[in-house]
Amino acid sequence: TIDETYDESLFIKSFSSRYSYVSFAFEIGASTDSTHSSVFSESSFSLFPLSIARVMDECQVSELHIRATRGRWDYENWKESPDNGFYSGGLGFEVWAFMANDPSMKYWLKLTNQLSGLLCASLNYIDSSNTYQPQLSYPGSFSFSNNTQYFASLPQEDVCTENLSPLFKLLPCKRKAGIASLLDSHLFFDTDWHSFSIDVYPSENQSLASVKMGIIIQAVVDVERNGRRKGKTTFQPPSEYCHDEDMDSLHCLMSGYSTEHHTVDDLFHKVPKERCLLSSTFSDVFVSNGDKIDTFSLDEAANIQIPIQSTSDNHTVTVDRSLSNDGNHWGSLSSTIYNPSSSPRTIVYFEKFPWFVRVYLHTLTITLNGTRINTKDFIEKLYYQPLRDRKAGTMMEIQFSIPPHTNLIVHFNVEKTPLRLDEYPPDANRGYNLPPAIISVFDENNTKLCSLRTAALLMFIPTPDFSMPYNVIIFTSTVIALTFGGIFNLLTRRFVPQQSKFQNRQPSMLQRLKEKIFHKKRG
Amino acid sequence: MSLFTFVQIRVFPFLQRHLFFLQLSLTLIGLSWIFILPRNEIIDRLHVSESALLPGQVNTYFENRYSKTVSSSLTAANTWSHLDASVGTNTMYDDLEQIFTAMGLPTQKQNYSINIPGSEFNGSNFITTLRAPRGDATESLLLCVPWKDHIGQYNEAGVALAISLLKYFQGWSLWSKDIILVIFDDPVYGPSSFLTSYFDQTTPYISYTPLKIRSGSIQAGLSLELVTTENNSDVLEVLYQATNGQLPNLDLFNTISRIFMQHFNYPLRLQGYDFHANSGSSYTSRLKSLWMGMLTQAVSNVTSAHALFPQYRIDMLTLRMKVKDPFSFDMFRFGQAIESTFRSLNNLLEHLHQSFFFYFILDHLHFISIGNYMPSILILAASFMLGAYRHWINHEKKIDLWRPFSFWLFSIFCTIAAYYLVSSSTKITVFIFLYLMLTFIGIIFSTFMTSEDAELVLSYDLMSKSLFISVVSTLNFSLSFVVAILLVPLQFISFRFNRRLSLLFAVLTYFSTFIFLCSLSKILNGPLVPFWLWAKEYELFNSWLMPSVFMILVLPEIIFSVTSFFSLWNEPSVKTKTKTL
Repeated sequence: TIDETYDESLFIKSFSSRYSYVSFAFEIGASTDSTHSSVFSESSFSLFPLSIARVMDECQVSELHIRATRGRWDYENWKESPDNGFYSGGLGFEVWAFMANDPSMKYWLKLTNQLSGLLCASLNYIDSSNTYQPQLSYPGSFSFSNNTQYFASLPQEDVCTENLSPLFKLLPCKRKAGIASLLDSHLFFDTDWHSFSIDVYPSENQSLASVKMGIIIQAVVDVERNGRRKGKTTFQPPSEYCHDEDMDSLHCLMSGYSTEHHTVDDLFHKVPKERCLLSSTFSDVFVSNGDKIDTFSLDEAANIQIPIQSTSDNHTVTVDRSLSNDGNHWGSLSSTIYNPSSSPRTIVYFEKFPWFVRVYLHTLTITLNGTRINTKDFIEKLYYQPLRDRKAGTMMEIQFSIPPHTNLIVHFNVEKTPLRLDEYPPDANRGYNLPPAIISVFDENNTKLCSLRTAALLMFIPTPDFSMPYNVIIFTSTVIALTFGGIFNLLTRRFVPQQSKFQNRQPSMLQRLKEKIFHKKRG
Repeated sequence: MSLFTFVQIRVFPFLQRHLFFLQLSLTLIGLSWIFILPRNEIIDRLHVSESALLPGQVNTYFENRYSKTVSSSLTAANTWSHLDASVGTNTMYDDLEQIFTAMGLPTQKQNYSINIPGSEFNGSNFITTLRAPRGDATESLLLCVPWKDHIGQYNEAGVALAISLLKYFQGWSLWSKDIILVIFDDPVYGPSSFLTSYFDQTTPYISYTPLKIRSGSIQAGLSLELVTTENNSDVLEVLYQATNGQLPNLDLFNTISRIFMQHFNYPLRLQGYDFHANSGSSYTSRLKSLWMGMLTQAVSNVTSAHALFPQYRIDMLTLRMKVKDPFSFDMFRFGQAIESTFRSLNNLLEHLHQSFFFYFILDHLHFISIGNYMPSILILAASFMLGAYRHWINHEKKIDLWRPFSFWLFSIFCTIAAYYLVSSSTKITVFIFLYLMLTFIGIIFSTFMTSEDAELVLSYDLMSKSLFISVVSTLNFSLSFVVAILLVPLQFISFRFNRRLSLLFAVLTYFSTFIFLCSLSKILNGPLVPFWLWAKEYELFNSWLMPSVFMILVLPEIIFSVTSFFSLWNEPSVKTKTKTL
């Protein structure tokens, strides 16, 4: 027999009058009586999606994580990442899994191909050239000792409604009941930042008899823009916000949208349907109110007033990354990590590049508060996977301790490699998306505090003139045709001496007439 | 007798005997080629190559409902312009920081200092970014507003419009790129330090605060100069020529001209000539516009913010308009045009690369692409090469070729050394000293040269001129064309025919450097001796083409013309000897 549980919760937090953060969390648990078999091999699920179980079983996966994120988190105004960044990605899709060790990646590629169909995403573009095996960034707390971790990211993969619809199919009540009935695809994708994640992991160590699956859908809603869409079929122009009662121009310009509180109707334009009866909890809605969290049932959702609060500045670590495009050949990459707290932090800096970006490890420099330090002494661990042309990209994992109140800059040089003509993406003149770097922060007890991602970067790969092969073929064919025609004409033409030609010519009528007249005159 | 034999026996000797006239024909063809370019059969019509732009296809909503914001922005800008210059910029930046922080945008005030010998400048830029909803911070558009233009007039309406537009843009969710707003306090030093810090360049002359706000690749941009002047003008002046003669992609100009002229009915001013939407253009006006465009591209003076961006592969234009009273200026009409432009650039999937990067804009509807005007300079370069060949084949006996080549090489070296000696001064006496020094070097060389040496030195000189003109024409066609015109007397110096005419050509070549600099100062409205200006622009703006061309192509002619002159002057003694023999 299979024991299954289902929980769902909705968390709402208002950052300002304009922005609100919403998070839908769904959790499905499944366990089997037999402690030595895998629950994925069962087939009589009531709540757990059978498609996920089949994929996990066929590909021998013990732990699976998927992140799909679009937008950039505003650390200045929205402060800390939700859940310390554990359930949000950087850009596009990220997939990592713990599975049986397989040098040929057969099961890993099978997994990504099946997930591609399940989620309507182009995860089938994952191959050995963009698959990495990080050693330090993701210590799997539930992983089996003989398992291997694979990681892949597709930053150019977009996130839109076709990815959200199959996500709802994995839920027991889908969108007909429960908190998921509040989600509308058009409103969800008109937010400033949105992300969804899927996590499948065992509940206990070293055992797949009991597993959990978590789905989290998050968004930051622009309440003002959202309000203009309510009940409208066209986009309404922005409103003007100007308080000019005191005739102060600065006061007018500093005015903006302001309100005392938000409501669920402001965020979702609808009243939720009845509760999902399969859920085991009654209080589904959580609202952040200062330091405490208020709980409501779904029936009371229409009357909730979400207070607007200014958040405190309690960053664990802030990160930034920039790319210097010096030209068509060389570039350099700088990542800035700042530790504002008063205790040291252990940082694992995980960087990955496609194969045509050549990273030169000897150019790696680390600067602390503007002072360049000895790199060898500072780095505690370094995993470096060099690139192999068209087979594997570069992976770099650096572990170091950043002192308190310190600004640290990691800098190294990269070289751009021209590609073959058929290897360029269709929008080659836009550039190539470099995936964000992942910074994992640990405290003194080796507990992971947060997982941060830097901004994605756009690297311009030098592009040829894509019509050049056509031009070369045309010009070469023209030259060959003209040359061959001329030489063939010269070689085959028959040349006749002019004298011989003259002798063979018959006298013209005019000449004969002249001779006749002249002869007559002479006679 | 076959065709090849006929060519070998008859055509080539004919050409060799008439090289001078062939050279003259090519020169006349090359010079007059420019006059057939503005003909109706030659010019191309401006069209948008990048289909994603769709200029003018969006509805604009920047209307009177935002009148209070616009009025407050104008009041604030007017207040800032009346403050003292020392505190005005700081007060403006503090107020701007409050305005944009209240909107939730990241802001930064960036201090910089320019330190080159003879010039020091301390300034600051203000940078803010409107982030695209769901944007990934990899692409951005740039809106530049210099607080003053190069004359020192305040850009009140430009700053006010930028504030109002950014508040208006924030309400839309359709942006696929971030919009960076940069306000410079100087139209050329500000962009230089901004670009140096944005792309992490290292230069010993600019020190700046590190830039915290970045939004990836800047795909395109606009620079607004709605300066407050004495007179009013409803004409939009589009400035598009950058340093070293670089040009933005033609599609950016197509988008601007279509939106502003056809949809919002602004007349355009190009190279000082006004064009209206419904007016045609005659051959004469197109020829004037072409010639003025060539002159301004040859000079490549840096006076506006847009001039520094194409070398970083950012397509940028400056939109300049004279506003008598910012409060009576139609801000909504201009703002809607800017809104339409940004909506078109927002559609870009890649940076602009489809249309032309080498063109001349003749009027609001027509342009000339590189395939039409490039033959003229190549024909002129060919005539120079023929001139070199003419001098070369006049020597049938074996002589030492290294001796004239050393003279030529040493002349180039002396010219470059002399140029660097005087390039840090702005005084006319330095230029006179330079002229006299090079003349003296020429006289010294003449005493060691025979007429054969002088002729071969001239041959080498013409060869190098031909090659350099061909190379420079691919970078800046106008500059190479102007230089080729100035060097036309050089190639007609002859050691066989009319001696007096050759002496006249040598004198003309001698003064061509002076003519060149006088023309530059007239176009620039700048100093007669622009060496220091070139040195400054080279160090700050990487504007290297003009001083290099002057140093290698124009300045050595002082030496070569002097050596040719004295060799020709000493010719009677040779003839006397011949008669005696």
